[in-house]
Amino acid sequence: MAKVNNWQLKREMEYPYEEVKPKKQIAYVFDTNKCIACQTCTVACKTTWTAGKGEETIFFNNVETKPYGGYPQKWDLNTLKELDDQQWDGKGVYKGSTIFENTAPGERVKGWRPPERNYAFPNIGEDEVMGTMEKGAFFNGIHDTWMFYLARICNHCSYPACLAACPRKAIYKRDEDGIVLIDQSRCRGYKECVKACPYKKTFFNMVTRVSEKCIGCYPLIEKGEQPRCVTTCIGKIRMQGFMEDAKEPRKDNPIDMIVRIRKIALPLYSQYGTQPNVYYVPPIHVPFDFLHQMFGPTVEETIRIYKNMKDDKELLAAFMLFGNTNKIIHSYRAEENHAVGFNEIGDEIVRVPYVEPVFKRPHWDEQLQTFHHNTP
Amino acid sequence: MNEMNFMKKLIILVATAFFLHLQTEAQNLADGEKIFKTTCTACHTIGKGKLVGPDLAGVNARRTPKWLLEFTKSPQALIKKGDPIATKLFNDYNKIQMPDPNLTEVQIKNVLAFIKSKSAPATVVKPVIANTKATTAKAVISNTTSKIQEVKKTSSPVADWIDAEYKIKSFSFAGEINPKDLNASIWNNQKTNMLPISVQNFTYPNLQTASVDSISVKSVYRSNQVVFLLEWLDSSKNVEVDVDKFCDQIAIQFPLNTNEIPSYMMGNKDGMVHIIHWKSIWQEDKEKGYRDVQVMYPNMWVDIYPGLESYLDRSKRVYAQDITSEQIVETHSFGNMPGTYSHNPMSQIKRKEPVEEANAVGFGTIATQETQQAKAWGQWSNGKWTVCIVVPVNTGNIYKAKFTDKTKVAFALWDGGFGNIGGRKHFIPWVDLILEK
Repeated sequence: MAKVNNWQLKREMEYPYEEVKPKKQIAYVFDTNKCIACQTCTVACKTTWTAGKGEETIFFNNVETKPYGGYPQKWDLNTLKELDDQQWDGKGVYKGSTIFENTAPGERVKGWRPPERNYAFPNIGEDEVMGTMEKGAFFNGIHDTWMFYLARICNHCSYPACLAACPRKAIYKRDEDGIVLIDQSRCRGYKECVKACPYKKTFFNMVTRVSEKCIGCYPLIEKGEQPRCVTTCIGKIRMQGFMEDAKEPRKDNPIDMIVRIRKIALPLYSQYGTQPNVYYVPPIHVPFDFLHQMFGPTVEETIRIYKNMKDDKELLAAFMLFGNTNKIIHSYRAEENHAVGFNEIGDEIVRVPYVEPVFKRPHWDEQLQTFHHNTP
Repeated sequence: MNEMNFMKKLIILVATAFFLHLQTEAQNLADGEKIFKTTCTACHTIGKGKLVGPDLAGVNARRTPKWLLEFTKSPQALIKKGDPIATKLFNDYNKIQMPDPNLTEVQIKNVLAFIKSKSAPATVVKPVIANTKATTAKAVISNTTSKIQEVKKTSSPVADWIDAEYKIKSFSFAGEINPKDLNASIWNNQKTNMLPISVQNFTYPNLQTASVDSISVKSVYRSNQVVFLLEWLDSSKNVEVDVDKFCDQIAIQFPLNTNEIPSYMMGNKDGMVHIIHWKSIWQEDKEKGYRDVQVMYPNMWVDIYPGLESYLDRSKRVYAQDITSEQIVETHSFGNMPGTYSHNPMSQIKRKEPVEEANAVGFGTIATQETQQAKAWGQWSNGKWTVCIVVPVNTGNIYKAKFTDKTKVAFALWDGGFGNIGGRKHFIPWVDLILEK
């Protein structure tokens, strides 16, 4: 085991391989507050990549309702059970052990392999709320119970557990963009990755008898375009870009601004230790004890900053760029009335107004001889 | 007053430092113990006699720390460099190379510290005289009520068997052997060799508990074929593969070069091995057709497999859930099956034999051969697998075993019912295979 630095845990941790940073690291920001679980991302991904024989239960992307949903079922609970103590100290340093530390004899990673039944109910728990409604309860501005939607893809982790567990070295992390891939010609279907991945985002294909995982839509990435699950999102909750993982965060990189500078998007279950690269804006209406477990100890501060975003033009501008271009935004600028995004060579690729212009049309249209209705 | 405070502080500081030192030392030893138990115990003991490799008691006194570090890091590199001690060890221990254990320098130091802590000072270690017969293994095969015996690590049968020098004698025969004829009369006259089997706990991931404790081996040969009849007890027939399903498997391994025997664990960098690997799932494919989604899940429903329906005759009202993987391969429309599309040998829908010939040069390096000539067939009944494997040898193909009258063979076995897969396997190190004239 080598010692590697995990910035999310603010400490060194054990990992079977030495620390190697890719030239660029793919990263995503998902704003859970905007997700309505329409599953457009799921379907876009499914029809693009996993519509084949043997891929019936493979969902590189899924959206589940928390707290009760999960695909495969209990993906999160069973991994949390594997970890003993998950405490953070006052300075935000993780004091517990990760999935790579204190493993059982003969194991590189603490993991569990879901039985087939756990793949049988992709929609389980959908729209179910936490707790029960009292008789006579009514809506008075704040809901008595809560639930939220969690969109999930492969985290293209900096320290992937799937890669660590593969005895064939059939899994690799690309140097050019940090995307984690399973070599389809090298895998021999040992399912060690399925057991190791704490997010359960590697899947076994029972027809080809080898494992598959989210490929980060790398053919699009190579063309400078964002992945399918990002560009098809009708709620515009997602942005994909690259993070300055190895270097100081850049103020003009929207991902860096959101994740590293304002720190309002947080990694999911960072205590697992894989340093995941999908960052979530936590839901603002969910009890903090639940959010602490999921998004770490800084979640209160994160939500406070998020609620004040309207006064923080630089941050707001980064969020305005979500879902407004299919191109990858490498840098951005907060202008007086617009958020402007640029590609890798600095060409402008998107310009979004902070406030949508309002057009008022006359009630009676002479030309068409009809009434117009102005709806806000 | 100030001095008093200073002294107090100093004492506390020294005490803390000493305490921390003790603590880290304890941690290092624990780490060393863990590594020793998972990586070294299959071949080495500390003070309990030699196994595959030497007894390591007192090794810290016998060799210099520098040599120990270098050797443990890569025994193979040191032998290659012509280091006299390493070469002598290699020759003394039946030319069996120790696999590179893949440990960091800190880990090696921890293991060495652990060995030192367990070595009794300055005592002459007597090698344990092992039983010449593996008594545990003897009666097992005849016992048809399958019972799972856990192999105790402390009395690993590997130890018994290394000293017993197990041999497989192969007898010459004329004519063809059909591997499907498992009751062929030729097998009645052959000597049964009982070989005790152990668990792979050298490298990650590994198997901690054995569920099989021996294999019975019979062998015959002719000019360019060696045929094996292998039998072992297995309480469950596992012939499916899915996310939490595993199949039963067995593999035979030959060195390519008999002059220098490579590591019995899938060979090593300059020592390639020839592996012949039978899987029950492949046999099930041959017997009952490919284990397809609708075979495993008869009530499955799929709306569409985009693009695939158009390849098939719609007038016959073929629904998506009826489309078989074989049809997809026949119509060359397997773009949606990445493994098959990438020509992964695991994803072959139409396999000729339930066995595969491969080569390896160490852990994680197995590669399917281009020319497949091995044949095999197996049968499970009453808690026992019987598998016949026909191995092509001396064919002139440089990737297949070549020898005159004597070579070595090793075995690996997977018990699907106990989640055996990949490195989570049982194994038998090199055994002499002698072709009787």
